[in-house]
Amino acid sequence: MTANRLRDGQVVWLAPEGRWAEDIAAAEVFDNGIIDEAISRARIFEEQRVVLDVYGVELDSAHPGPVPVTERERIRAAGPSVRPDLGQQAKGATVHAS
Amino acid sequence: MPLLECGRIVRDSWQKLADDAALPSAPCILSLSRLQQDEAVRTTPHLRLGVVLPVDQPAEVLAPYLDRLSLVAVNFPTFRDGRGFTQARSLRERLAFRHEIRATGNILPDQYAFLLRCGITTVEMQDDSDPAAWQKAADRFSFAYQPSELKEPVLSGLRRMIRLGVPRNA
Amino acid sequence: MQANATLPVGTYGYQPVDLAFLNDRVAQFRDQVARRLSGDLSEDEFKPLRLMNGLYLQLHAYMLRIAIPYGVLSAAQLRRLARIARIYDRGYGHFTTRQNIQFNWIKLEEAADILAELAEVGMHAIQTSGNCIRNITSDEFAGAAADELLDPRVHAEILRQWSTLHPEFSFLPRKFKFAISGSPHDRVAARFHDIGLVAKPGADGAVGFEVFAGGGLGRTPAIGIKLRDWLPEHELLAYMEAILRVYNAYGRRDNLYKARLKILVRAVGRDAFAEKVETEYAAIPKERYGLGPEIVDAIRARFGKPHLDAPEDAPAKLSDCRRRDPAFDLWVRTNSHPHRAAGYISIVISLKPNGGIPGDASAVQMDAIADLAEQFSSGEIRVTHLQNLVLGHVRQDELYMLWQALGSLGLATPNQGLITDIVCCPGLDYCALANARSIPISQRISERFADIELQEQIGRLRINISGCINACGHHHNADIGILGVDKKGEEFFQLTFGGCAEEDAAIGQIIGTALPEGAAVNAISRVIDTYLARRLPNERFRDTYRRLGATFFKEVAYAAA
Repeated sequence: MTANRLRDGQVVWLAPEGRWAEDIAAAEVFDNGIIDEAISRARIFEEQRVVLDVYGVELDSAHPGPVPVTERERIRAAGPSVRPDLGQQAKGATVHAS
Repeated sequence: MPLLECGRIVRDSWQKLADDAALPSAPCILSLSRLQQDEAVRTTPHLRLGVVLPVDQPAEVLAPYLDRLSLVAVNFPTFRDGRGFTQARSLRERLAFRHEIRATGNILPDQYAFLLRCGITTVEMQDDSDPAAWQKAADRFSFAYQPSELKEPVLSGLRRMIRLGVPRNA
Repeated sequence: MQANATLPVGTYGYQPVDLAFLNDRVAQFRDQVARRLSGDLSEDEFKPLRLMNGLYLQLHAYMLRIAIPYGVLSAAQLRRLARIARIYDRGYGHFTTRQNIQFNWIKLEEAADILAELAEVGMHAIQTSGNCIRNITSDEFAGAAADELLDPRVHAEILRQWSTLHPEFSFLPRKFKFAISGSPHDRVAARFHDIGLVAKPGADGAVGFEVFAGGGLGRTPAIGIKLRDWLPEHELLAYMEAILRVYNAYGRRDNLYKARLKILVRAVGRDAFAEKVETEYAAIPKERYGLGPEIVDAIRARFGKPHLDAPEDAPAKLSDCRRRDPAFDLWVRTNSHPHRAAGYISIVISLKPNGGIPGDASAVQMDAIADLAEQFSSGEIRVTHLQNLVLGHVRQDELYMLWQALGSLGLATPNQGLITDIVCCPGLDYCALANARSIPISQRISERFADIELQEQIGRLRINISGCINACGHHHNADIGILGVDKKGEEFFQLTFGGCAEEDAAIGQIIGTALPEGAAVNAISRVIDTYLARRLPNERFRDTYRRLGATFFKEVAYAAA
């Protein structure tokens, strides 16, 4: 599950124990069957003004770790494909934009 | 609902009249269709009348009735729908309407100065609104770069000193 | 020559009362942010308020779009933008197709501080987004171009002030965009704006405007209709009020994608729309909205004048340098524009280096350009809607020194108006609305056509790239337009040909199905080769395209597909 942190707009991913992590590698992975309910529960973080716009991101099951299916979410997780020096990809994150 | 005027809650002497309700003797706000169709209500002496101007109607639709109206209510279905501003200005500028223009619906305190400068005089607020917050929002700027429906002295160039009192022709 | 230190050249010098206004705006926004963070305002309520201060929530973080009114900056203002880039962002900014600048890594909790720093130098982000009147764009050669009849920037400033926090028009059905030109040669795409104005003198030299309305690009490109052939200056604001009032009253509110003025004009028909405007205009109290010459003069007086005093041998010195240095000569051929004053010249600083990101400039480059502007161009910098910068008033005998300095900064790419002078939106690398990335394909095209002799041989040719149908890259207006689309999770690119933003306005035609990136670049190569082989002497691409036809070029483009 992903959102933007309200105060600074940072892309964050819901990790275990209600922590919002900047690196998708820390994200909790949900089965398709329970994701909708998990998103509903996560709305509390919007009400508490921690994050904005919580939604689910489909992961590519071909990868061991969390890697989004869509290019958009991969770029969101990693940083701009044209600036490898910016975003999570520059901090050694495993997911890449392209 | 509390009624805001000049930054304070004031007593509301008006009531909304349902289309099928009998005429009271108190000031009442009619729907546009009742105003247009009910000749009896229009010709009742000593009865102060107001009307709700639908958001998608031009102010000109009230032209035949203005001499009979003491209040026009303009509506903001959402605060993003700015048609009420144009309706109010048209009432003041084109139709020389001099009485109360009331804003109803969903409005933010951040819009209060815009409402007043378009010639609106009262605002129907949500129950938990804080009139002080509304006045503070309205008093934020001391001048504006365009003329308004209020009597505002020219400062210099395009600038007018903001005076959020009564409209110029009210 | 050094600039006049008191008034900024080419842009409005804010008076203390105007700066106080900006500070009030900052305080208002700071309060709105606090109310958002405390929960007093919901996101739904806060969003239009922050958009009206240029703050978007974008793909990576908040993005701040800072206004550069009619595209003019003073050196001090450009230095402040460099500082914003360094302190609050990641050391660079992106110049947009509406002459604004965007920063992509902004924090909401720092946004008010950024606006406060901008206010110190007379800058802001007022109404750079939201359903209100946006930045008024203008000609990048305004006040300098030899073919200019009137400098439109004073009236651009008048329109900016008039539209700022307008009580009636701050909650329009949708965004509203103005462009104003002072030259009969339309460099501002006036016919593709909600309102486009072309300033021209009337009888006795009186100032007036041709008025176009209802143009636009986006999902449904449309060429504006002409409402007035010559509107006198003193009626300008009253007439704009009439158009906006009709739009605010009748523009659609039920469908985000059908809410622009261009949709209303087409829905009611041009004659009916013109009649609505004229009826509204007839009822507007002219004395209240009159634009008297004394007001215009007072605002004009706040614009600094460039220092224009070249020695008589300046042109000869320039010719001499050109003869001796072929690389310099090439850059002058491609990147300069004739100036009205003897011994002066305007130049374009290309932000489209080979294989680079179009329109981006680093903080280091911004600071350096500010210094060069002070040294060589009266302290004035212009931002073009084609995402380049202009130094408008350079002495011809100083041009060589300037070029050398630009070269050392990677800012002397000699490609202005050529095929690698690509206009490109940020695309999926940055934008939450995009369907495809736009920057990589622009880089591939830039690399494919890197050879400068080939570029000169091709001549002036406009390529614009948009990463989605919102068309912020203005691809409809290009000789070759490229639209990124998503087909089953893969990036594809649709080509359009024959667009034009100038007086012979035209919307580009889609020539076939979308292609993957490599195939699209190859298709463009084939089309260019064919153009070179088949064009008549001095025939522009769009004329060759019109002569030989869409079917012909479609076959060429898809030959290998």
